[in-house]
Amino acid sequence: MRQCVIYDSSLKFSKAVYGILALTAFLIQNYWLVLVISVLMIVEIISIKLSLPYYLHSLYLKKFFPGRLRPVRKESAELSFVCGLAGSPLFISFFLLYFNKFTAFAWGLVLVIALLLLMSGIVGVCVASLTYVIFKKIFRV
Amino acid sequence: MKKSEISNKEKIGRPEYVNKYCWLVKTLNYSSSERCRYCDSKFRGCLFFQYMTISLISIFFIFSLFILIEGRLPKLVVFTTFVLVIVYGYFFSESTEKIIKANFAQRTAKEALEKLTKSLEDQVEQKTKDLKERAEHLKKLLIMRSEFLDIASHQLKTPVSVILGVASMFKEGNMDKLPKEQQLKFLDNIFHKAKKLSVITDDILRASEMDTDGLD
Repeated sequence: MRQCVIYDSSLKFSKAVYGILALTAFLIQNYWLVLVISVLMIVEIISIKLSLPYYLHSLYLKKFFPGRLRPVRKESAELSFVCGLAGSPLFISFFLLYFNKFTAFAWGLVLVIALLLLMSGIVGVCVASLTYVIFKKIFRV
Repeated sequence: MKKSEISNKEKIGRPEYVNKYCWLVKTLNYSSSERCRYCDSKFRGCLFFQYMTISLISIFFIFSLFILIEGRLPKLVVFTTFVLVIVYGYFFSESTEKIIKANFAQRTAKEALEKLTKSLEDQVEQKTKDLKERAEHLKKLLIMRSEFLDIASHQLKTPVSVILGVASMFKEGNMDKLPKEQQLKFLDNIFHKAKKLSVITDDILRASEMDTDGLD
């Protein structure tokens, strides 16, 4: 599997930003914000280099956290899988909300994704990564 | 794969370290986060996994309870629960990472101390062995010196007694009664004995030098 070196704290920052945005979208009940987040996350499937919060942190905000910016190895497939797993439910939620179908379910989905993104970004526990490893183990990739 | 890479993967604390007891890290073949570099416990013992499971179950339970009782989920409840879970998670993560690193540092220090103790023990053992060998050597030298002194004193006594005897005969005037050839014979005897004495003295001096060298 192809591996890449990324800044773990920048990745966490990016997830925390998406999580806060998703929570804000739920609290102000704005489905356009959900669309923006989902598009940003889906674009990240192609490459982590396309993540705006990641670059904002690694290029500018790292000055404020000098000791904490350490590069770590990650599989590119894991990063893409995580973005896909978080972005696609948000995208589905947007469509449900836009067409006014199962709105309670859609907002619930946004809420769950926001929580998981915040947990991943702030606590460092990523359910999507765990799912990726489970799939990897099952399919022996 | 190179031998050094394999050994780095087995060394806890290294960036390349892979915890062979954790199926998650083993499947990924790299440490999923920085804290995993200092951990050697099984996945089911992972505190972060436990936190995640307990948090998700608690949130699901709280939200279900509100929906069942109130019939809806107030935003304040959602926000408060999220804030509580995330703030608790943040402090939990910070303190747990510190504990994991402190445990690792303690273990590293313990290993270094054990290594140092072992090295000191080896050094003490080696020095004791050297000292024993030197003491044995010294003992042999002392025995040899004592034997030598016994022989030397015996060897010295003979010429000295001859010289003393002849000298006393000369002093008392007994030699005057003897013929000239006899007197010369006695003088020649004194000369030979004095020469032998000189040789023995040289031998003692040489032996003394050897003894000093041996002690050094």
